[in-house]
This record gives sequence, C-alpha cells and structure tokens, in this order.
Amino acid sequence: MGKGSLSGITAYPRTIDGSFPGLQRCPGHYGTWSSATQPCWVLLRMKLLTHNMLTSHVKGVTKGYPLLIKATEVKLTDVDFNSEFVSRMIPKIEWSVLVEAADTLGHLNDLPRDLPPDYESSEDFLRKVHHVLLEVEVLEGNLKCPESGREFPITKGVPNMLLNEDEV
Amino acid sequence: MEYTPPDLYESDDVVSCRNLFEVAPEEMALPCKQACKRYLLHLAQEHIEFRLPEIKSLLSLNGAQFIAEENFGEKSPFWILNISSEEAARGIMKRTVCAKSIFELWGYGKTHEELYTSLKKYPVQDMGHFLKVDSTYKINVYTFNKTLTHQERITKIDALEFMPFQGKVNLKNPEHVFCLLEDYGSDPNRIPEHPLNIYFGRWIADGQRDLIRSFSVKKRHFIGNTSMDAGLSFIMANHGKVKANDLVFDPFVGTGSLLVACSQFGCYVFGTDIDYNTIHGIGKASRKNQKWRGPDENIRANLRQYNTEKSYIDVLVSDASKSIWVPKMLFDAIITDPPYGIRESTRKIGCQREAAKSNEEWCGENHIPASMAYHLSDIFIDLLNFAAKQLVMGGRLVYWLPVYRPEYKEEIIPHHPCLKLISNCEQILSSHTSRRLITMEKQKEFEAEDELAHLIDSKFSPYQGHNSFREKYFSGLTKKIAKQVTNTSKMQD
Repeated sequence: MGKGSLSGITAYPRTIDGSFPGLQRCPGHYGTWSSATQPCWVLLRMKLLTHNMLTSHVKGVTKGYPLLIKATEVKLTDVDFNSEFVSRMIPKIEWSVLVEAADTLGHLNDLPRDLPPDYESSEDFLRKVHHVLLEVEVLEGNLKCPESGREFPITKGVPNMLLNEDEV
Repeated sequence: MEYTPPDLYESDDVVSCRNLFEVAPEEMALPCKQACKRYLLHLAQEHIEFRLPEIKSLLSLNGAQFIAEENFGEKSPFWILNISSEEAARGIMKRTVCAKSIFELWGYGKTHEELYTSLKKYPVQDMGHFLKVDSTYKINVYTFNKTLTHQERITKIDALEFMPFQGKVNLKNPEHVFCLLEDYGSDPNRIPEHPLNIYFGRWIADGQRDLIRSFSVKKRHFIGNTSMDAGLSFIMANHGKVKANDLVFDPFVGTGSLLVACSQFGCYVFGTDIDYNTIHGIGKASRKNQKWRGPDENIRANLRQYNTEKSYIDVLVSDASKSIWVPKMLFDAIITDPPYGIRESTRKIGCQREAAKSNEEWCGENHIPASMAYHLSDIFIDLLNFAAKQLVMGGRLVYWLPVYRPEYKEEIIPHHPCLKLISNCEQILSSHTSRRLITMEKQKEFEAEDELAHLIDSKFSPYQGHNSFREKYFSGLTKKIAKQVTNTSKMQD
C-alpha cells in the first residue's frame, strides 16, 4: 500500500467492514491495533521544535511561555538531517528553552547551554541541534502553563490545546 | 489619533484575474534589461483563472519577472514570455501543475509564411549548437483543437526542410526535441481550416501535471469529506511561493491535503484543527464501503505514503481563533482552507445557547469543550490578523473565501493593513456559489493598532454580509425544490 513505511510497521489491507484480519484493538490506546507479534501503533508524537513555539493562552495569563513539559513516554526517532533547515530554525527558537526542555526529558547529552556564535558552519553542532529539535518526541504527558498551572494533555503525541468554555 | 491605513493596492502586482486586461500596459511591454529570450509556455486548459498567478509566483521564485508580449491572451493555451535565463524556465517547470511544457521559441506567425520568415530571422549562432552534425533530433507536431492525419503531419514537418538541421533523426531517443505547435482556436464547433497561430520551438522541459494523478485523493490513505484535490492543493502551494526548508502552517488542517502538497516541495509542515477525531485519525471514514478509519489513517501516514515524512513536524488540536504560538514571526507561509459552514461546521470554543453539535459519536478521553457558532466573517478577520502577526515579512497567506455570487463585489474581499492582495481567482461551484482563492503577502510589520483596523474602518471588514452564507447557499436549493414541487403539481392538474 504505502511506500517508505517506518521499520516494523506495514500497512495492512482492510476489509469492507473496517476491521483488520489478524489484529485486535489495542486495549490500552483507543484507535490503535495490535497483535502478538506487532506492537501497538502509536504513530503520533510531539517534537521539541513545536514545544519551543507554544504558549499558554489561558485568559488573564501574561507569562504563559514556556510551557513546562511533563512526559511519561518519550521516544527517539530517525529524521533525515538537513543542515540548511536546522540553521534556519535556530533564529526562530528560544535557545535556553530548548536546552531546558531537552534536559527535562533527559536528552540534553552534550548540547551546549549557550549558543555558539558561528553555529552555521559547524556540522557537528547542527547535527546535535537536529537531534534535539526533531528526533526526540513526547508520546504521552502534558504541557503545564507556568503561571496558571493549567495542564494541556499530550495524547498519542498530539497536544490538545483546547481550553474549556469557562476559560476563554 | 487618526489612523490612515497605507494604500497597498495600487502596485502593478495586483492581479484580479477577471480584469487582466486592465493591468498597466507598461508591465506588458517592458524592455528586457538582461538578455531575455522568448519562450513558449503550453498550458492545460483547466483552472484557467489560477494559471497566471501561479506562473507569476514561480517566475518570482526563480528570480525572473513576468514579461508577456503585446497580444498576450490569458485564456489561450499558448503564452509567449520573455524570460531571463533557461535556468529560470526550467525552475518554473519543476513546480508548475498548470503548464504542460515550455519551449525556447524560434519562430512565430499567424500564417505558415509568417512563421517561416520568423524562423529565418532567428540568429543562426543560437540555433547552431542544437543542429550539429553529430546530434540527433526529432520534430513533433502538436495541434490544439484539431486532429490531423499522419500524412498531414509529415507534410508540415517536410515544409521545414529549409532549416539548417544537420543531425540525424532519431524518433526513439533523440538528444533534442523540436515542436511545431498549431493553435486552431477555442471553438470546437467551428474549427478553422488554417491555424490562427503557429509556433516552432525547442522543447526544454515538461511541467508537473503528473503529480495530479500520482497524488490523487482517491489513492490517499487518509481522506475526509472536504480533502482538497491534488491539482488545487499544488496550485495553492505555488500561489504561496513556498520553497524548500520553509515552515508552512495550516490552521484548519483537517486531513492534511495541503500539507502533503507543500511537503512535496521540500517544506516542513505544521497543522492544527479543532476536531479531535480528525487529528487523531479516528471515527467514521469518508470512503464509500468503509465504516471506520484504519490504523494507517492520519496526517503523518499521508506524508509517509509519499515519502515526505521527514517534513512532518506536528499537528495539534487547537482552536484557530485563539493563537497558541509565541508572538513571533514564525511561519514562511500559511496555506489553508477554512470551513464554509456547509459540509464542515464552523466552530470555536465558547458558550452560547445555540452551540453547534458534533457529528461524531465518540470524542475521546479528553473533554470536548462546548463550541459555539464561529461567524464566517470572524474567521477571516482572525485569520488575517494571525497571518499579519506570525508570518515572516514577504510571507504569503493563501486561503479560500466562499462567495454568494449574486451579491459578490470585489470590495468584500477582506483587507488588512499589513497584507497586500496578490490575487483573487474564482472557482465556480454552482450557479449561485463559488469560492475564491485569495493570496496575500505580508508587507508591513504588525503593530497593536492593526488588530482593530476592522473596527475603525469599515473597508476592512466588508464581508459581514456573508455570515449568512450558509442560509443563502441552502436558499437557492429550497427555492429550486419549491419550484419543482409547484411544476409537478401543475402538470398533474
């Protein structure tokens, strides 16, 4: 069916009524399927690049950035390295917030706390940034507003930023 | 404190496709400062209004300008353009889905004699490289709006014998391909005996019209009721002037069809949607014969289907009327298709008595907040403010605006002091409705007073009348049904 599938995950042909022969619904995660040999599909994750740009918009909050990450499930993935893209992103992000977030998730490794001045020419450095921005993903957890304490859940890697009707 | 919005609509770049011939004549016959050559663009006769903005955007992306000849016919399938380099010409073809091919124009005429005269005037030193003794070539004959027999084609090729072709003919695998193109007008019921325009040129490159088939929504893993078809999603990406390594955002992402198109051109993509089920890829399927969505159905899987998963950053569940992003200029382009209130409901978070009801039966563990009606005109005010705040300078906003045709006037297109209108192309949906693809470019940095421009100056929010678009859309239908009922009852009498 689809080309370029992630290793270990293949597309299964579906039957007319929508079920998948040989698979059962995974009891732990709604909307996903698994079998004895196939681990549960959890295809969606939040990247640290996204976290770096999100802010809390709870009514009345003025210091809603950065959101604090509390992750219960983190996964590493493989993304093709593109030095030009990483160089372009560095001016758009808050460096200290990225370092803090990576540290919270335990994936800081040897990323420097201060941005080196000539980062564009150092491929080594750009690779480290690439790893932290795009390859460390949060599957489950939540994002907490630093001022109001309100938590935005992350389910199956997708942050739910909707406020309740009484919070807008 | 008086606020006078800058007048951003006088520049030559404004294209309202209906009024093409009102564009300043200086733009048409601009003398080419660099060594421009003439190229012939052969276009598909589809989405006619959308072609010119696409080609203009792609020319600009490749560092070239749009310079047409005097008798430029926007509706014709053949355009003669002056382009500064062959590289720019090839660059356009790598992206366009409106143009079929581009040729280096060697001759043009309204009759065969004129064509031959024109060919004889083409500088021999420019031809020489392609006609060398040790090269191979082939000549194609293409006719628009007429079919010729094989013998007729051979006769036309033979008539070109006077040209200094020194190489050998190779029909299977030639080094150079030449084309004789004949235009027999646009009326299939009145085909003239002789062509109205004849062109001869060296074939350079084909466009990307194959993408329309290979990216067809029919074969896509994850679709929804309102997924954008492949051709239009690529046209939108081109109107948005997106390029490799750009950050593109869709605030009403749905099933991600616009992100698929942008990722194909090397962009990195984000999306948000208020609908939890669509983002997570769960709930009822949109395909016939299928009841529920399968495990392969979500936006990320769509990108994986086309090998662009590396372009996927994230999708989030969020209300587009409330920005969740830091107030910085983050995005290079915003390409989106907001809901019109017809097949998808327009909603935002909040309390109101007549809250819109969700169609889905199961909505997930997370609390689904009560939503209220999101008036169409508010969607566009919010969208334009969002774009003005969070686009980089020169970044583009591309979106669809639903329009009730009997009441349409150009003035109702939403304005914003920071955004300049680039193009406005209509796609007719029915006799009384259409949607317009609006492209705007950020020209001025956002300041606090810009947010309320629509309250101060009514020029900035003339779309109010379309809040009842939904009623107007259905009113046409109910009138029709009422008419039919009276007609049948009359017949029965």
